[in-house]
Amino acid sequence: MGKRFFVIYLLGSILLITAGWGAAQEKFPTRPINIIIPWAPGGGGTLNAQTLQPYMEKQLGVGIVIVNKTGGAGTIAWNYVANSQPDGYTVGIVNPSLVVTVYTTKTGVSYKKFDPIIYTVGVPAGVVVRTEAPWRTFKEFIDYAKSNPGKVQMANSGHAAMYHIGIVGIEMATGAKFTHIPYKGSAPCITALLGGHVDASLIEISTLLPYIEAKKFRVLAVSSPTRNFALPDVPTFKEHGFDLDVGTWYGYVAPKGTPKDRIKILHDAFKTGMDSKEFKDFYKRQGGVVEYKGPEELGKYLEQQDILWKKIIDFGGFKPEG
Amino acid sequence: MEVFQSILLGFQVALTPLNLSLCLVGCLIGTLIGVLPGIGPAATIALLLPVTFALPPATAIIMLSGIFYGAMYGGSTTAILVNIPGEAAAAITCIDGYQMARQGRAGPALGIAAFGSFIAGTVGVFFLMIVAPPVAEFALKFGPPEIFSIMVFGLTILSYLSSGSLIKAFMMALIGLFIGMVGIDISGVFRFTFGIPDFYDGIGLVPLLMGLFGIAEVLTNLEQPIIRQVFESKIKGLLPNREDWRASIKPIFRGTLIGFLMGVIPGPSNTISSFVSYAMEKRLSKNPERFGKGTIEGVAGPESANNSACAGNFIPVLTLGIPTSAVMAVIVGAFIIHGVTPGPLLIKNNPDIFWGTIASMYIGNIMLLVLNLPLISIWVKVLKIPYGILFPLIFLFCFVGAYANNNSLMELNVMIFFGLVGYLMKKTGFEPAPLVMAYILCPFMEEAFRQSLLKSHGDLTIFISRPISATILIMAFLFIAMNIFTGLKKKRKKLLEKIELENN
Repeated sequence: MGKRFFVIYLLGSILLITAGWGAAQEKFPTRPINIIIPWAPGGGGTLNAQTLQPYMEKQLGVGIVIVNKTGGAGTIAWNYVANSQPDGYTVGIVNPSLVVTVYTTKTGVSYKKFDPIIYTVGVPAGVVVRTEAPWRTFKEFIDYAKSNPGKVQMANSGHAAMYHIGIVGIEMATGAKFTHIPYKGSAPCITALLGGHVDASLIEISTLLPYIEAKKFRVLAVSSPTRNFALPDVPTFKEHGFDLDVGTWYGYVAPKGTPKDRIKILHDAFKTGMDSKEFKDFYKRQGGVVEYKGPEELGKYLEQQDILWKKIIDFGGFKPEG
Repeated sequence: MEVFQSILLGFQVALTPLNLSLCLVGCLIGTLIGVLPGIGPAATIALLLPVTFALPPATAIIMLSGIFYGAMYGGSTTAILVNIPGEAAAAITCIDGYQMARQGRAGPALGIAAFGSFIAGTVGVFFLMIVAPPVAEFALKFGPPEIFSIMVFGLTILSYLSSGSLIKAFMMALIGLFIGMVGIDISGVFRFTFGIPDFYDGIGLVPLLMGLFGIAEVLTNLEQPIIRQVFESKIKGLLPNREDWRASIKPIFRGTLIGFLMGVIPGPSNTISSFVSYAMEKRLSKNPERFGKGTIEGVAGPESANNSACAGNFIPVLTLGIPTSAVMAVIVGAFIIHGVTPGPLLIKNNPDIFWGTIASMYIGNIMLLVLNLPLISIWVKVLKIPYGILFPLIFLFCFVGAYANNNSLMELNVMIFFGLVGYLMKKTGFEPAPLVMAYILCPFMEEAFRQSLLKSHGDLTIFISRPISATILIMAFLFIAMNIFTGLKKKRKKLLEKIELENN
């Protein structure tokens, strides 16, 4: 039994090696493409990739393998992608955490180490309170927080994680002062808010919609520059006089130096997935704004995001840890 | 009766040929991955999610849930046979289950694990049906102070997890707490990470378990070529006999209750409930010294607890849309991708999915029992494989499992390290269970403690000024006091006997 197993194992290895060789040829792609996800399965990033996956496989004719590599606040996965062969077979998903972790961890990866492929969708964040909360509007909420500094308890999805920094951004823009209670992820924040253990939170609206429909929560303001179609009655930060686009979004990148033609092939495959009814319907239910940005536009957007987040991080005095 | 109508609707959904067959597929896959160490249900469900795109939502959820509770069935198999917990929750099963296997009683151990899982699974689902919404509302009352108190209570049972020296058990627990502190704490401070990004989120549970139990066991056995004969010569009976049943039936029901109640609370409830059940059985047993030496109660209780915890786990997900564990997060993802919104309105908007899933769990539990009982005779034969082949295979599975867990080579190093540590612990009489328990509790306990103090601006009375938290803390205190009292009484009795002897 041991011998047979060994033979199979050997044959398998040979097959794998020869398959690797084939990749050096011009035709692309000839073997499966890995999409590296820095977060655990089940989260927004994985779902984004999983919705695109079947369309990409159909167009490219090879398998798309979704690899979840968690840890290091996402930086393990992004380091892995940045240091992979720039041959188009390794692709990474990015969100604002990419530009946040550069300034909050010692292992963060600069966006300049990637070649952008495509931007797929943006999901605004919402300032959320319970329906029983005394504040009817964002203004009332901020006024209360300003006249009672530290009285309002704000749950965030982790210390120095993007929504914590988003909340600090609100402090920066309005002069309010909150008590920050860190949780591990958005789900525990929702539990804490449902149970009344905190007063408010800043969470992506896709997670909030079911609770708003069930009349458990009320969103006071959203982060996007324009009102969201899923919450047409909720005003934006901009309407309150400040610009703070701290929602999340998902884009895809390849290691720096990936050949232009391969980026184009990948980009086209992603675009087909993005244009599918399934993808659009998925984000319609989630309050996500499907919006196309090509490689150059995503590159510019990353630059803008870098400036936006750095400003808040400097204001909050976050230091790179590690 | 609205509930019964709803249940009827559920069975209508679950009993369609398509749903029945995919429920079976889910259970099969679940059993399989439960047996393979390291490859957990979360990764498997995520991997299979795209396969379910073409299926109706109810069918997809039924199949993916089957993988989850199927894995809980399978997790005990490797724990009993080769001392590797297939799932974290099965770590405690290693203690007595593996000892039973060494005494040639692998069959009854596997059998009682399967029956216990079946009973607990079925009763748990029944509870889920009857009390889901009110229980979910109650669970919301558990804020940081309450969770901290529960973790304190959890730590008080540590002394029951060891059959040897109490001091050694406490030393192990302290080391466990220390290991649990590795990583980024909730205020963003990096502790003991040595600049290695893989440690930012802490030391992985899967490589730690496989190292301490599996690798260490193989290393120890390599020194003792004689033991093999014990394994081979006497495999007595494939199923639990009447005596086994008599010993197990109460632990099974107690385990079921503990598991279900703890399953609702956020945190590593499957694992903790199995530890609590083990401690409780040891406490209630007339012969606590038999624990750790292959007693069937030590398998029946914890295995039941972790299966009914699965049913408990589904409550926050189905009624509030809140995942309490990594696996549940993936199931929530599955709901979302199928266009079903998990949350407070699920029962109202998608009754077919809610009740269909629950009804399928009844059916799935029966399938799993039918599936697992015949497998026992095959599993027992695994023990007859010569060590020269079995050991490399165990290593192979451990390595594949540790890597597959997070696609990281660092996890392999962690596993090897803890394999060596576990080996040395075995040689020096330290037991791994208290370490594992403390390690699992630590991050939750610390997080809850610090969240509470942030909330109260540093005021410690927050833990006793809230009724639920205070009650749990008083229980923990009474538990310790009771133990000291009984300990003193025993000592006094011994002293009295001694004096009497001397007087005579």
